[in-house]
Amino acid sequence: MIWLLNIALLILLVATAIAAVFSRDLLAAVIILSVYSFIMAILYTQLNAPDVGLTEAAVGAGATTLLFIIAIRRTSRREEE
Amino acid sequence: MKLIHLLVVFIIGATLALAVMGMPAFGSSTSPGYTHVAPYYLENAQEETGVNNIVTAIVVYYRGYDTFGEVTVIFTAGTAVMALFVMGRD
Amino acid sequence: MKAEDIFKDLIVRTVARLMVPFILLFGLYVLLHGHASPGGGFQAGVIIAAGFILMSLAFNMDELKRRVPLTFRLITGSFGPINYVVIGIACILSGGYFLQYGVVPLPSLAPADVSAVLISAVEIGIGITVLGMVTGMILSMTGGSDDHT
Repeated sequence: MIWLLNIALLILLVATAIAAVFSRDLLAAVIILSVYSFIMAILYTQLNAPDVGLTEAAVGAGATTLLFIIAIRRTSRREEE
Repeated sequence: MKLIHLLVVFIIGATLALAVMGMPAFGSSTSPGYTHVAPYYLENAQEETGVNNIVTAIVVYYRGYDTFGEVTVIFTAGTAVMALFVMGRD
Repeated sequence: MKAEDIFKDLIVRTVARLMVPFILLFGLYVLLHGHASPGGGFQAGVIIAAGFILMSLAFNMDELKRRVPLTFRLITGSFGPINYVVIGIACILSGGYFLQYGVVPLPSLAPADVSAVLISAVEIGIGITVLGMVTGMILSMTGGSDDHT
């Protein structure tokens, strides 16, 4: 039954990736990207790579999101047309 | 113009899909990645390094140079960012 | 409303006060237990840095900046590579190759145990470097009143 969870997570992964690309609000895009990282971490843990999963959760969802948010705060939140 | 972009994306995607079909089966123990050095690590890592986590053993012991380079990269990147933001403000 | 005031929220403060000790504890666990369970220096450094940043976001960014001056960030950042090189050269002086940990003659320890101890030391150095660099980068990027020392 675990493959059903994996399929659902993979579909969600593609959906979050597309949503992050098409989002006009950059802060929303960054948050969606951190959700992407968390789903990726769960998938890595599913594939018996807990080290990579831990790194992805800490760096991808934690540090990168924080850096992006600080960068947005120093520039602008809206994407220019 | 947009049609050409779409065409390029489709060609690259088809190539990648064909390449994935040629890969060994998922979790296959006879794939090239598992037949060269991986058995040596699995059999000898614990006696040689005294570390139970084989990932740490490979990262810090067998591939120590790589990890040293990674630490240097992080140090250089952090120093550059801090120099840019602190000294560039004057 | 200033940009800094967004984070001075009651909910953020309460959650930060509850979470930060556990985040730091988990980071230390990942760092010191990295030789037996998933984890290691890189992950632990990022987790501990995330705890510090959450604390500074919820309370006062300038306070953390004042307590952690730039020179201290640079010293902690350079600790890891120096530690790595010192251990590697100690291996050469003991008659082995660079980073061949087992040859270092520590008293009353088998070669495998010596290499386990030195691997832990290297991991701790990596963790301190990542902690100092991530914290320093984010503190430098957040602007405000920064030290020019």
